[in-house]
Amino acid sequence: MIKIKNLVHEYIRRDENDEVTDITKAIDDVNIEVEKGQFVAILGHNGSGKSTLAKHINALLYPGEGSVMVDGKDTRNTENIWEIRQSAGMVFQNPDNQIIATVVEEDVGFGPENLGVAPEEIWQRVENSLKSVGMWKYRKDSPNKLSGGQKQRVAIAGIMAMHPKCIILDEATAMLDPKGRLEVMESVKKLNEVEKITVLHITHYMEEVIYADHVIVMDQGKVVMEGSPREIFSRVEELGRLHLEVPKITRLAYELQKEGVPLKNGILTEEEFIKELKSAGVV
Amino acid sequence: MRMIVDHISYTYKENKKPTIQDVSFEIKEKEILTIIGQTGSGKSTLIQQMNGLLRPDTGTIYYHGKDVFDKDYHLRDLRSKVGLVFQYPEYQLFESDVFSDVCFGPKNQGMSKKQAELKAFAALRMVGVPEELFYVSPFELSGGQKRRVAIAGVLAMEPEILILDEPAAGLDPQGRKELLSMLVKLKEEKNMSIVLVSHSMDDVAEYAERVMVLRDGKIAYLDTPKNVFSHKEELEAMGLSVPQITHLMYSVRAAGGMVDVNCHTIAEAKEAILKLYGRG
Repeated sequence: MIKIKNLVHEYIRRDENDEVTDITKAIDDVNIEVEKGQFVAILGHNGSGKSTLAKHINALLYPGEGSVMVDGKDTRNTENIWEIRQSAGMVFQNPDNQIIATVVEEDVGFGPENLGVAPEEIWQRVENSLKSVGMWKYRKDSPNKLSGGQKQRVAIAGIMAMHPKCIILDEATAMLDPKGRLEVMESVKKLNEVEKITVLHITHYMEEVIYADHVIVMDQGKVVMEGSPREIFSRVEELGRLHLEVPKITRLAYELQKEGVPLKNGILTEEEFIKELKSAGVV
Repeated sequence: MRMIVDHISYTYKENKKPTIQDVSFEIKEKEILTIIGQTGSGKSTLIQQMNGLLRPDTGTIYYHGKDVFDKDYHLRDLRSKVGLVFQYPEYQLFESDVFSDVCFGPKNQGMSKKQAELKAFAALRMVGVPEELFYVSPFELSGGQKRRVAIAGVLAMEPEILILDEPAAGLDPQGRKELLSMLVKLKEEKNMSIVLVSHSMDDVAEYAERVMVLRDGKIAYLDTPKNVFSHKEELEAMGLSVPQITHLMYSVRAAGGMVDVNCHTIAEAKEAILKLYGRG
């Protein structure tokens, strides 16, 4: 679905005489392949290059060196831009900056209308996508009456209505309360499982990573770790050096292991934790 | 007692239902009070009243024994003593360099240039922005650094009460920890009262001395984190939750493990689980 080869992205700083004073490599020789239908989480501290990477996949930025292929289309070819943006939709952090219409269903219909989809089909798509994120009953409401989590789900529905193959969430849960975050994550997980949409989820919330089947960790513009959530979260000390954490449950299990309690590595969920306690016969 | 909020209610013009309904509480010296509540529970409205930006329909607020909504009280005095840091404050940086941006507040309070600069210097030191960044454009800083500069802008006015709306949102785990520890330091060293609006129950459990839970504009609970988080079901019904570790302990208990469910931190949970294994 997404093929990134030797991608480099430089931010160039110039002084008043247009002389280059500084070059920062936000992306430094990155190679990533995302299969169709995968749910990939991207982790990294602020400034590690995650968001720059996302903007490349959405063709908001073009490669300086290397290449980005989305659904077989090269982002360097300007003719492909609109098709790429249609197949890889992006959800941003602030729910208030993404909604434009005054009624929920009109907001969701805006995308397909812009693509020149026939009116009847637009309404069909609006219905399907609002239903898929559980927001159908709010279709006649004004978006500014919705909670943050509901707004983000409307934003996701707006993307779904354009029939994308991939959704990129760029810290889309950062501004939400716990309930809103859960609503968004469950909607996205469902789209991934039922509609087979490829998901790229950029986040700082470690407990959201357990939804993913593949994790990419970035630091200083490079991919420094890659693997399943369990593999990644077994490397507690290494993540700490990258200014990241593991989910609280994983950390607790790790601390207990250090005390000599026999537990398996990389416990991610409560169910796994309790299963371990049960097999040890302590509960 | 620095501030007493006395039976305030407030209804926005376009709404029928009041956003704040008969809310009373006090803010003590040198404490961290967190406010939690679902989106729309009235958190933002409440903090804007505490800083005099919104006037309650009924009830009032006393600051050091003075009624701040009295016609003889200068709200300007309140605003310099009760600093408000909005969500994503870095979007409000506007000067050409970091230092000028932080000077803006104290200058606006009527301080001389020299005085304002001294305050700005001290505030930037407090939030841990190194001197080599003082004269760069705020736009060249990282997300966490920008946030610190924005907070320094408020600290430069030397408030006694600092109110922050989700100050750690969007920061990575390390940035989050640094920012929250900085607030603890301000409380300890400057005797400040910190009021923190937060969505992270884990942060609340770790940093707060008292927690206020808002539900539909009313105070549902105002107590220590320990006591508030013992109401797991009620909190979940409000769209809130308990810290992740507490949640796990409830599940262990439900599976038959006799542990204290009132554990909030990894250290507490570790002790409890070790006991299950007959140790500790």
